Amino acid sequence: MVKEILKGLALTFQQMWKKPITLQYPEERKLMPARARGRHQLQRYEVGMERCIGCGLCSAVCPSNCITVVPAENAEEDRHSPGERYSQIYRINEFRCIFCGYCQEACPVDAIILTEEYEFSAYSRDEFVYDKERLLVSLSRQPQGADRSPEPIS
Amino acid sequence: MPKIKINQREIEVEPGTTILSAALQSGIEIPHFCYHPRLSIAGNCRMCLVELKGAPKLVIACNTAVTEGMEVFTDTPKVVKAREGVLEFLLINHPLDCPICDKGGECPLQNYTLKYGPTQTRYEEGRRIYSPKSLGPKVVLNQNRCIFCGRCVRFLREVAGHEEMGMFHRGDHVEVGTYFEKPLESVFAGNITDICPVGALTTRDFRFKVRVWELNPQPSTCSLCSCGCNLVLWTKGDRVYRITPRANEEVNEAWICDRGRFDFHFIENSERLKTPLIRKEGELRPASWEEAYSFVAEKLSALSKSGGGRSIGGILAPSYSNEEAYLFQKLLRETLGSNHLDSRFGPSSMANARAHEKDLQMTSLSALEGTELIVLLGEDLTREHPVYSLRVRRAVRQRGARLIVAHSRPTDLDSIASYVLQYKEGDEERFLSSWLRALLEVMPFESIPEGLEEERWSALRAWPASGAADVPEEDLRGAAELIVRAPKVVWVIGEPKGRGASFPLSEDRGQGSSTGASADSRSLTANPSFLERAMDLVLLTRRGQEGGARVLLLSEGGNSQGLLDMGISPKLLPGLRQLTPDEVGRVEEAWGVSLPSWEGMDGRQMLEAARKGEIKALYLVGMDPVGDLALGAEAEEAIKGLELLIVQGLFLVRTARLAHVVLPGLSFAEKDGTLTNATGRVQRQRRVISPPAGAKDDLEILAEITARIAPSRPTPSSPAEVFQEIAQRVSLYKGLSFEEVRETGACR
Ligand code: SF4
Ligand code: FES
Repeated sequence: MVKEILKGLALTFQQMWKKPITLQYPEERKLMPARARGRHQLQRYEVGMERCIGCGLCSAVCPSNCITVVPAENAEEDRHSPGERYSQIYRINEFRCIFCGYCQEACPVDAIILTEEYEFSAYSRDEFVYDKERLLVSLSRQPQGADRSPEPIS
Repeated sequence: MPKIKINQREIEVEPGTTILSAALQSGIEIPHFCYHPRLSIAGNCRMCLVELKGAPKLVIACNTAVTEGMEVFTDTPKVVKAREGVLEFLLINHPLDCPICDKGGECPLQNYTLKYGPTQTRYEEGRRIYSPKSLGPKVVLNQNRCIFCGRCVRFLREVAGHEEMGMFHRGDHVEVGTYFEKPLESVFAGNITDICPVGALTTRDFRFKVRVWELNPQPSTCSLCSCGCNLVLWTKGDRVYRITPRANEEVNEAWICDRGRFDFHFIENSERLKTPLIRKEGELRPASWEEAYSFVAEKLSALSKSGGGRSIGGILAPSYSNEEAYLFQKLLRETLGSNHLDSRFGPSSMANARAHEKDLQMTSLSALEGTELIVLLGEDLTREHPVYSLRVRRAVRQRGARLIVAHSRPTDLDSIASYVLQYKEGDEERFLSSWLRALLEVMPFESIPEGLEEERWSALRAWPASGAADVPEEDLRGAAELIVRAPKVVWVIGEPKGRGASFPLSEDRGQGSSTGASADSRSLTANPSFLERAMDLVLLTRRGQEGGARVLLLSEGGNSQGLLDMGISPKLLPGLRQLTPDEVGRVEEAWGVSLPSWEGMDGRQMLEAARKGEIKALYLVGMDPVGDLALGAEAEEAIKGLELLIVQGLFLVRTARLAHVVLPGLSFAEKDGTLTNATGRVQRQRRVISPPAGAKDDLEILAEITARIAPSRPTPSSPAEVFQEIAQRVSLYKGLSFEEVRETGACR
């Protein structure tokens, strides 16, 4: 009996001197592994043009059917993406998403990526449906030099 | 018949068959681009290479005829390598941007590349880039994607007969496009986007709207003209995104006209009516269906009690289904006791019934194939029944038939006609009588048919003497001689498009219409006897008993034949039976109902009677007489005096604004039913999307009103039930059942 108690306490004492794994969120944040899959983001080219061409492959591959893409045709005066097609509406329901990352894998132009961001909270459920405006990386935050400029597509 | 072996499998085919079509017949795949079963063989893409036993080189399957004992291999290493090579060559210039291209997902080039193509390209130079070329508003051409198979060029030349596209320059500089870069005008232009094996040709209407794999293709039938083309409606959710043809050898083969293809956007128009309206204190106010039903039922039964059936009239547009038509006439005839029934505001004719009675009515388009002579009378086929014109063209161009075109305006088929008899508009009668005289002159006496009753003869004699005919005498004679000499004649006769012959379904029809066919097809002035006289002409030229003549009577509206079959006519009972007291007696006995036996009024007469106050109530379904250019003022005047005007339809059209009750109905994509085309083929129209909330199925509306007025009698209300009753009562439809009218329809 005493033996068992001592054994248990030994473990307790052992752990007491280790660094706790609890993070003091939100002051402290966890560093996510490089391939973590969090909230989606739509990428741009260096020149600011959207990468997404609205092909809809992400929505076709999505196992939980949470991506809506409505394509449209680019006009010369109002070009959103290289090529003829762009996504007029791009919407992801993050509630339904299972963060499998298939969309990222299916995308032929590396337009959609899953970022490390995992902090989902909002005051209404609607806010979990992300539209293109919120998904697109903002022009100022986009990584410098990391992206190629669009190739001319004939 | 030669026996050949493809991949060791023995098959037997007709002599003269090519290897490719033999393979297709027996379900063996040989990839191909330029070959199309309905076009001539070009043999320019080299995709269909196969190996023949004993042959030193590979041969193209599409242009090699089979011979006895031939052994074909489609998957030897040599073939596999050759295909890979052909695809690699094609992909040198074809851009690799399938995710952008709108053909993606239904593209033969994409599919074959995946299946047979190389995984890598070795080409490092720049791709050939063309500057954009416009084909007009309907079709978009992207030449960079083109593989120059020539299908589009061959379709327009061989099938449509509108040689608008061609191939220019040679070798690597080859270009495809319209001559002088003119916009495509053919009413069949949309078809080239279906047969283009790559994304070079797409319709402006559909491209970049949605991905094809998200769509749900569903079969249906076109209700715009009485060709009755078979369609596929591509839907997603509650929206129709595009319409493409569905193959049916008996009707449209694999083509449709651009009207059928593009004229459907009125379905999603936000101005569709979504609630019944009732006039209260001089204004149309939204009401519930309950209110609307009881209002209509009460008013109608009160009127039929006080004024009798003669004070009520009904007009149903010829795009409505057989079931709706049947219930409509049941409501008017059996329940309200009125014979004032019509489907138009032009004069009605008995020609259909007569043709049917005399067994002259053409019941299959194959009659066109074997005929020596086709006479088009008062019918601009390419405009009004476009898909039938393809058959006529083929009969003339490929099977050696002769063609006579008699019309008041130049028509598209004039160019292939042996005789073009162009008479003055409004002068039909004089033209017909001078032609008749020419016919009688060249006709040997014995061949005048015995069956032509005496009264017809006197009618013929009473025809006005031909004055100065505008048609040259020798043309009249020549055409008459052709008719007399040809062993088999097919007459294609168009209904005179009188004032307000029929009306567009919606307000935006006509203006937005891509072909403009409905806008100015009403050129012939109303002439009640035109069709009857034309029928006399046919009867006169009918040789012997073996039916050397056939007639195809064409009227406006997708279900005009069905409506006549269902008795939507002041002079016909269901089943094309003449409305005579005897016949009515017989029908009453057979059906156990009582029917009015007096002859009703046609649409024009009804308006006139309404103006005089003899007709107090009009029930219009899908009609807009006030909105019609020619009829408008007169109709408005007539309608003002009505005690009850019921308008059922999709939009608050001008007539509806004057109505006492407006009932919102459904469009062709939202309801089930059957349509009968001009040759008597009964085909299904299907509900492929759900209707806007608040509007109701037209059949349900009619059934409910009938049930409320005569609650004691059972009223069938589902399309299948109504069709069952039709099959029981109408002899023409005996033996058909709603379920049996499957994908490609059934002959009545
Ligand atoms: S446009 Fe299409 S159908 Fe016409 S030649 Fe090019 S690939 Fe063939
Ligand atoms: S299909 Fe045979 S050469 Fe094109």
